[in-house]
Amino acid sequence: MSWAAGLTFVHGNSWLHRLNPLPKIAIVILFFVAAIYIYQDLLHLALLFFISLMLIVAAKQMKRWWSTMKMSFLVAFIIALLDYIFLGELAFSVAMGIRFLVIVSAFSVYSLTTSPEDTAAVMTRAGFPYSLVVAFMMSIRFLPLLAQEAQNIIDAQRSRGFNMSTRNPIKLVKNYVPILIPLMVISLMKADSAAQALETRGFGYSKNVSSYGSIKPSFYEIALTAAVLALMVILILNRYIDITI
Amino acid sequence: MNILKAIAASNLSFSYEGSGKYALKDVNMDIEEGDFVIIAGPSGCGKSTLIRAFNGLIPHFYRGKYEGDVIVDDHRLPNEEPHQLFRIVGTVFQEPENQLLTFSVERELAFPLENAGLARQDMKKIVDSTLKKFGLCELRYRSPNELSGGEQQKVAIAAALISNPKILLLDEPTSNLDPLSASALLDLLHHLNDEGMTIVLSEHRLSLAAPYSNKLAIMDKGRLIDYGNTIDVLNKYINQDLVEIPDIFLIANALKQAGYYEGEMPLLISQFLSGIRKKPRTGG
Amino acid sequence: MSIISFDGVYYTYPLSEKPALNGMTLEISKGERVALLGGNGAGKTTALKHVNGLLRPNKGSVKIYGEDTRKTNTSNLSRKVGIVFQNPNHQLFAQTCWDEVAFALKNFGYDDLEIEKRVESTLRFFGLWDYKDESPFLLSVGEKKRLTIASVLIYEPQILVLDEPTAGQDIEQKKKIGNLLSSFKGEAVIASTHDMDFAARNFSRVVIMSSGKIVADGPTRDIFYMGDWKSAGILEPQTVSIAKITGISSHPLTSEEFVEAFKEEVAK
Repeated sequence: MSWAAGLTFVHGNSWLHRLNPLPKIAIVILFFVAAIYIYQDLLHLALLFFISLMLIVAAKQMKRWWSTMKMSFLVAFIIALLDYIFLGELAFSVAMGIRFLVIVSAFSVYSLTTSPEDTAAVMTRAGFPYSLVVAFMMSIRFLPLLAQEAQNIIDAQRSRGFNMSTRNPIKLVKNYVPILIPLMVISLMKADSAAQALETRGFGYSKNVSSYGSIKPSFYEIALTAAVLALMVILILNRYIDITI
Repeated sequence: MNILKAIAASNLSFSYEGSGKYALKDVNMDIEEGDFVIIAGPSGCGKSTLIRAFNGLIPHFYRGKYEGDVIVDDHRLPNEEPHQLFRIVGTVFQEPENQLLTFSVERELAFPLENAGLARQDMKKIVDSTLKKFGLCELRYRSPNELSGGEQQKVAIAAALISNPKILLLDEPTSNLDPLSASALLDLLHHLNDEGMTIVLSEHRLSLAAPYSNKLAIMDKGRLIDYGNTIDVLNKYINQDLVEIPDIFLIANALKQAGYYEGEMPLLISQFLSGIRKKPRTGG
Repeated sequence: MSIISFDGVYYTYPLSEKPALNGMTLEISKGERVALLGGNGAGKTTALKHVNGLLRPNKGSVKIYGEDTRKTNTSNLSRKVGIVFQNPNHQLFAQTCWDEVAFALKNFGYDDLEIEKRVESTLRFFGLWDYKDESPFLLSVGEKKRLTIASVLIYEPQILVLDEPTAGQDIEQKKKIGNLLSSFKGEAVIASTHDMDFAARNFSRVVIMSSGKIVADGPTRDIFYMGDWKSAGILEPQTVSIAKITGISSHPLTSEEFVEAFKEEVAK
């Protein structure tokens, strides 16, 4: 399973899957703000990570989350190591590593439980132009395909004796030409195909595009969003005014 | 006589911007409702361009010099943009995964309905029934990347037809499929045609597709060389290297000349067997 | 002596859970032309990539001219093994057709004089000399395919590997590709294909793969008449189906052979 598995939506029936995107976005923002702005210490950051883990358990997506976290641990370790080398404080360095893990984990909670189409619908509701949102979503859709094509290109060129590794920096840049040109051509061809498919499926037929997924939040979901944001405000204030939490 | 025409092309010519040559030259073609038409010909003959002239991608998506007329189900094509026509004509392209735009089969089917602005309950009903009709229920939540080529093309067909067009255009849909998947796809098209769908298919593999068609069009260098009853056209071009004549046809033709085969030229083995005479027909 | 040998090869792609090659054993000797058949996912392309070392086995070994591919690098192997991939767009990148076919020669360190000589003779042989200063992207579908084959044959590999050489090609181009194979002066050809007629006409030996294993291996004629191999994702040539039903005993592979055989059998 690839490292991207924890960042890819999978259909499911958990409470989180069925929750409207709005409170989920609020939760992710809460995690981001808490991990980056509010808390710098090991204890709180570890607690945040643990909370995100519980959400993953609730979403029943442990396996996919884990394959993303495995790769993230590597990056977190590098962050912690660099911090320790330059600053010398162990607890702080480890905390910085965990901060990275919290961010990835929170993002994973969202991505695993929210379909890209619903995210796109929310973005459109929020005022982003529909065409822009569709374009953005399609780039994400085609990214794995392009990654595969890049590998195919590298295989084809290597089979003609092409050797990418070289110490000469100028030659190294030149070396990318036989990879980049075919990749660009193929990307343009894919974009062209996708555009034709869009046209023939009625993209642009009506100004009133409806949404297959229900993104209208219920009262409960609005209340939940408000509560999460309120919690965030309280935690921010707590940093400056001493309301002990 | 009032024959219902699904597609009528008259004096259609087109050359892509910047190209000196005509991609289509003086094409005149009438396709009736319920026809299953195969368009065949060497690479570069204009098959793909013609298909795109039938759904408005030409001239709206590709710039160039456009002459003549195409009328699809009473709509005069140069005047209508492709996205206006998706309720009249559906299109399936050659590369399976490049035409699947969303992240799940269910959403792929819903996408055209969203573009039409349908209400959610209506969309759900239509998506459910379409999934059932095409046997896609089990693949409902799967991502397009997880599907085989044959499954992807089936989803593409379902998505093209969900806006309820009566005409289905397919541009070399089996090119990237193995023969068994290609055969299954053609079976599906045959089934749809039986139910009244007009099918226009550009295809190289005539041995698989020809039995299902009633009309064959052969193109070369932008011109429509011939168009008519499949067997008649195959008979005329049996000795030329314009299209791949099915083996069964070549065999029957050679045996006919030697007196071992009588009757209608076959496209299916059952037809071949009924025409075989083991002993040569003695003249006189 | 076998020049290509797969010995109990197992291979699983890094992020995959199922093995792509599940114990593949195959020997190809000098002078052989082998067609690799099988449905999508059978492992054909994976097997072909093992021949020039793009992929190396997890278990078992692949030996080219007796050398284990894990002990050589791809650059050296590519010298002996030329692979033509299915999609020309995966390799075309140069400003001119001349540069495109010269690419491999430059990579292998040929001197300029030799490159000039070979590029001219190769482009002429493939009927592409008129396009030497043109961009490869402006060529037609068939011309692009010939250009990719040319850019491999230009350095005269001893083993030629082709992945779906006739995919998307029309009848005239298929004949040209068949002729190119006949004129190949190297020691072995192995090609994966879905085109049964092409396989029947150009390859004397056929290997059928299914789920990463070889399920049939032998002379083309024998294999096609042994069974219909539908379970391996194969659709047999139409001529074979007809011959089986009409009971022609000489096992024809092409329509011409069928007609001859039929006439002979009726004459008896």
